[in-house]
Amino acid sequence: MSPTEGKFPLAQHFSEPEQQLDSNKLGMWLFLVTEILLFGGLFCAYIVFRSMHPASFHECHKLLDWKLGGINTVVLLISSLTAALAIRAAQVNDRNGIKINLFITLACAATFMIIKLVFEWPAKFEHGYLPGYNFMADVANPDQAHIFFGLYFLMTGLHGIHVVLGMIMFTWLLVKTYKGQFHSGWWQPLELGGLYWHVVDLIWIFLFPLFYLAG
Amino acid sequence: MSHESHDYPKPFLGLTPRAVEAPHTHVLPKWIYFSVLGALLFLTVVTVATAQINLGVFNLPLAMLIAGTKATLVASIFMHLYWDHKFNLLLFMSSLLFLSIFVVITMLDTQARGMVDHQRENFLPRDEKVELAPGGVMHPGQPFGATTWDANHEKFQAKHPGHDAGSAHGAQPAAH
Repeated sequence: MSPTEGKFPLAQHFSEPEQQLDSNKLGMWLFLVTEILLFGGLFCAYIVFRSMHPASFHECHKLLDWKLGGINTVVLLISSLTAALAIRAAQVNDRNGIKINLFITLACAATFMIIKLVFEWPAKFEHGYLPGYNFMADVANPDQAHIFFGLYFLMTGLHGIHVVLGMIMFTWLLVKTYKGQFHSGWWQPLELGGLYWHVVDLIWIFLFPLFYLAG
Repeated sequence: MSHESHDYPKPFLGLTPRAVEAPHTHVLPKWIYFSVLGALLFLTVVTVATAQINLGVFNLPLAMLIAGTKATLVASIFMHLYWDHKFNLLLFMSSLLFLSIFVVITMLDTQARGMVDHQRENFLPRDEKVELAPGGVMHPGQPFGATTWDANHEKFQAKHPGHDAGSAHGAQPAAH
């Protein structure tokens, strides 16, 4: 046990812990705002194209498997809970709790990506449900259906990249946890990582109904 | 190995953080986190169930209402915004505000594009060199917001048989 456990590592350019915590968190929130605006542009494209081709979007959403999307929603929601519990475990100095919760979060993220890349997308590729000029499926209006699948692959793909980045981040946090760097005095990297992960979850909360349910 | 090199806080850019008394932290009881997950899973089941029923135009607003409730739960409790400094909440809400401005101004264009093209048609000759408006062209008698692409496409093909301009596939029919 390190003698500084439970103590706050106050950086030299801050005068008190609260100032350091608030500054770090503000920086994270500014980043998350840019994330929301990044996905916001794509949501805007979805709104515009959907209002232009409501019938086509309705036909195309039936081609997606809402069961797989639903499982992925549940998996992400559980991972959001464990990400929050990992922070709580650090706050109460429960080292094992941090590790267990981070491992569950990582496992959920991996499950999400496996479902997407192994069970969901290859089936879409096989049927020719591809974006843009590559769309090759025999549907009522291929001239419009490719728009839906273009948006689908772009938005869920960008979201998937965020999930993979989240997995890298959680691995890094796990390494730091094993090094004993998180305790009741210092747990903010877990908190900021958790905030990122919750935004990834928030975006999926909207992607799921828009593409799989109410298309 | 010296004690310092193994210890935390470790030096960064030659500066070692001082180990000071940790500030008081707000720890939520576990049952709150688990109840929020329960509520989120319940709302997921509700949104899947209501999507199977045809409610006409109300399907989408209902799905968005449920998604908004779930997002509020995640943001206020998992992300601690409810207990956090209100400035972080202000940042979060301002991103949504600017996003809505972005969407509304975009739609002022795209939703009215057909009307403008209809007026332009009166004095601008349209020939095969002119690409069809991406959103379709509105024609007299069509209701606002109707899907106009097909009607427009047919009209174009009737005028120029065999010429498939404006189609995503060029002159080729969709391959199977």
